[in-house]
Amino acid sequence: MSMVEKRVQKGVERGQQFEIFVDGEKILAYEGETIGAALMAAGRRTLRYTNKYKHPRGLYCGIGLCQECRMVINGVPNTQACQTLATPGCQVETQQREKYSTGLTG
Amino acid sequence: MFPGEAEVVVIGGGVIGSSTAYFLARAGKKVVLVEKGYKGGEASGANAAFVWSITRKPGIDIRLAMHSINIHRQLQKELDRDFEYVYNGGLLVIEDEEQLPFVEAHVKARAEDGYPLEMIDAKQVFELEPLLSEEKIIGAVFSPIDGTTNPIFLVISLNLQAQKLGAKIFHHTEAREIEVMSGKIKGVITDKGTIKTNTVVNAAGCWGCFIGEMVGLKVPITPFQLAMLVTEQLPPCVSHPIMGASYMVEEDTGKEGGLGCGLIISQQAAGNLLIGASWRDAGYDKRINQEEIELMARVNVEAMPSLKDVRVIRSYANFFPHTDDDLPILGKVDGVEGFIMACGHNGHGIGLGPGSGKLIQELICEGITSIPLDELSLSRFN
Repeated sequence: MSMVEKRVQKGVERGQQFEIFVDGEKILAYEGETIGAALMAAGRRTLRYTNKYKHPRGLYCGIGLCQECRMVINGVPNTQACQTLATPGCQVETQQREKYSTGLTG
Repeated sequence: MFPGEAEVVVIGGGVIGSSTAYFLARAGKKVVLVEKGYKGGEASGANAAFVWSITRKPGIDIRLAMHSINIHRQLQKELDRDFEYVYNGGLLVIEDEEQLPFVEAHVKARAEDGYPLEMIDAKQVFELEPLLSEEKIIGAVFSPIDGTTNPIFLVISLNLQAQKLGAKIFHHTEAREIEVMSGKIKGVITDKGTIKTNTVVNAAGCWGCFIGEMVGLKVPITPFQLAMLVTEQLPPCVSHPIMGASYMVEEDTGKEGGLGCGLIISQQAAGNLLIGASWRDAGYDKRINQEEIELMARVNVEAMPSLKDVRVIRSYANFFPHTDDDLPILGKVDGVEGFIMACGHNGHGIGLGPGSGKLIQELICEGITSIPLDELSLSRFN
């Protein structure tokens, strides 16, 4: 099943289609979709790995509460994929604590 | 099965009671610990997580701190469960010229007492903690032995090990009355049953005054609220416990009742920064208000500007047991044989708790302690 087919087709009008980058790979998203939704439609279920035991975590509650979908979005770690709208060309990374810096400077 | 008797009953399941129970069990005593709530559920579980010596005053204060730091290190080897104790050294950062005389007087007094401290300049501070503001910090006091721990894990580890050694630990079990006959402890009546004993340790922290009342003692402990913020988990970026020197300036400590705030930053092993701390005289009230949260955020972002991009995920407050001379009350009391005080640690319970537990065990088992407790007796307040 292609990405487009996973979305509800009947009776839905979508906005502009564009590409976003997830760990460097291009996936399709539509205006108005969250990054979490675009990733689900693309079949990507693992959004981050836990700090201590490196267990995979995915979109769980989907409504901004459970904090499981935290990803590095446009360089900002711990950003909720389910609460962040996709924008053309945005950069999304699977979150693994070893692989991002705080971005903090003195 | 609820025990009908014990050699020692410890009242209070925070770090002090748990340490006491652990060392007593290790020494072969039949010990029962009763805790009205849950282990580490009060001040022991909601604090700045420092194992700290820099601001300890000359005399008995620094001796207790040094002794307890050694006990922390001993526990790190002895306890089966890790409690994330790390010691890269601690920093008391000097934020303005006004703080300098207070800090210098303290450093001088410590050196005269045989416990010297190292003053470092701003450049050395930024080498140790690059995120601190170059505009805000003019220098620091560095102590290589200070560090941070995970206070909740520490209490859990002590409890588990004490239980392995035979201690009986009962949570959600409240001491209601203490039986005294002819000036001697005879037992503790709890809501789960009565435990016959000749020795009771009052390790009830802020509730130590109420336990004291049960045997007719006036224990001058009052609650004093301390609040902290917890940030999202970050990769390692703060490697020392950091405290602002405003804590050395007596007029700034807000103990007269107003809201105050001093810089506190440290990072836990999980990556969360613990930042704070604001204090106010709020009685037995753990609620934290918006004003406190904003004040803490402002004070800490001034000292470490990049914190402005870091998200706070929760806050907590607790009240620590305050005594008028900022020292704990440890040891036997006049008039009630078998009643032993071990509370009033003034917000230093995590640092001092394991040491206090060891001293109380020595007092009970050997009758003599490796640090004399005379200056810490309850009778000093008479």
